[in-house]
Amino acid sequence: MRRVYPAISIVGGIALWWVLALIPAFSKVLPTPIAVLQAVPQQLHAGLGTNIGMSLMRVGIGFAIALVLAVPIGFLMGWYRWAQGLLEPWIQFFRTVPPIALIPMVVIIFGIGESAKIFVIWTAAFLTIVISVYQGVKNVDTTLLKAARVLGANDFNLFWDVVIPASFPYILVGIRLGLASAWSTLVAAELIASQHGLGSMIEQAGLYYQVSVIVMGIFIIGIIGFLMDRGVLWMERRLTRWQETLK
Amino acid sequence: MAGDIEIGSQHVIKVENVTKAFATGKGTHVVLDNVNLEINEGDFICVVGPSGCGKTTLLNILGGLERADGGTVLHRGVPVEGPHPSRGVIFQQYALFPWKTVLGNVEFGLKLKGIPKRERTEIALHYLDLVGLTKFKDAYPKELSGGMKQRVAIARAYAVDPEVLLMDEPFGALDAQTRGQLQEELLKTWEKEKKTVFFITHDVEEAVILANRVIMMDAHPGRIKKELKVDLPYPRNQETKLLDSFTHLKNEVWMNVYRH
Repeated sequence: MRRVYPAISIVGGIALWWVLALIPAFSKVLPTPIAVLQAVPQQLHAGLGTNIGMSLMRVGIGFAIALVLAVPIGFLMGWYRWAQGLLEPWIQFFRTVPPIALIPMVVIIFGIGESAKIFVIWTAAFLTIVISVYQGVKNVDTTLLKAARVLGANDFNLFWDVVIPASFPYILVGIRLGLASAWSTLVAAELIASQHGLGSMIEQAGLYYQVSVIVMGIFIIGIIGFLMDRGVLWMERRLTRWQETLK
Repeated sequence: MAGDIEIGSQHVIKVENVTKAFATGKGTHVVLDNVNLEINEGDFICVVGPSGCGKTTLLNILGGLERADGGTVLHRGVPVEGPHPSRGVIFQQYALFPWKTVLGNVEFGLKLKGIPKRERTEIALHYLDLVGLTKFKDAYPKELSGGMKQRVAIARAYAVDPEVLLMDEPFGALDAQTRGQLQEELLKTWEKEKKTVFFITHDVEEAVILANRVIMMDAHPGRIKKELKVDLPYPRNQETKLLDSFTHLKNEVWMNVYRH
């Protein structure tokens, strides 16, 4: 039963799109679903695979570096007052700046190569993950820490056996949100004079007025983002079965 | 069995002139004012008092989770300066590690002690058997009822073999029936294991049924008002509550704590 409404919504949405695309007033700017599907084989010849691959690689590298740095830094900030005091003002500040606004500065510093794009994606993912992990450590139930201490836990045990597992659900939320913000910053990052990638594909299609390619690109970005989100959710459910869930 | 529980006279814990105050906006708020108490081997002490009498603060100081501003707490003559597995604590909110199974929770303190895997499982299973939860050893805390969670917490505390158990309103969040059940179980375990227990409650009936000594506290500032020896026969159970002597003791405690 609960799958019925989403199904109606998807089918209905596509039908509405199709109808709109057939109306002459819209048909110039809105391709039909068929036209979008036809753009796929044509773009496969023009290097769609390379574009997807490049985008995934940039997001993958930016996200991986972000994760590796954000988890220990988030723990440090949550556990030590001094680390929180030193780092939090900057993290909170840069969190309010959209990554796109950093692009001109990034280009001046890194030039227009791969490192510029990866840096922008990294910024988006890092800030999201670091905040999640930090919140996770801050939210560790103090009674659990007390319970561990009276059982004989030293500082190392507290950190390793209580703080890390207790904040694990937050790390997974951070991964999910971080991956989403990395992926959504991609198009912006690929606007930096890029030759390949889904963002630049859309960008170039815009220059040549290939609306069906633009819409196809949007769909591919959306579908990949959705699949990544589902993947992390699936992992989350497997790894944190012990968690209380709201009924 | 009845009446032959030996209660020694040797001090396990000695509280001398313990004082604790917090700074508030309006000045200092005295939580504990010159508290003196001797806890003897095998004692089952219940502390009753209105909220604000500092009973939880006293328990935290005994457990080494908080420091006193003045005075000393000696455990076997050694000043208490931090938590130690020889003083087990049981919290009202159970404080089970949600990511560990029931067995994993009970084993945790043993793991910290460096006891090898096989041996700690054996010990943990023994204590799970004691609280009747062997069947649930692989369950996660979220699958258990409140009463079962507190049984696991009790097994976890017993497993590291503490000399004193400090219990902070452990049955406060449970329904009346479960509370009665756990009281009886705790009495049975106490008669068997002869641990010294320091138990905080606001429930007068619970204090009288469990304790051999009831300590009554006053609030603002928190201090010990009076002590009462409970000489009800053992083994005690829910039927003990029907005795006239039980009613007398209960009334006396109630008058002292809640009537001014």
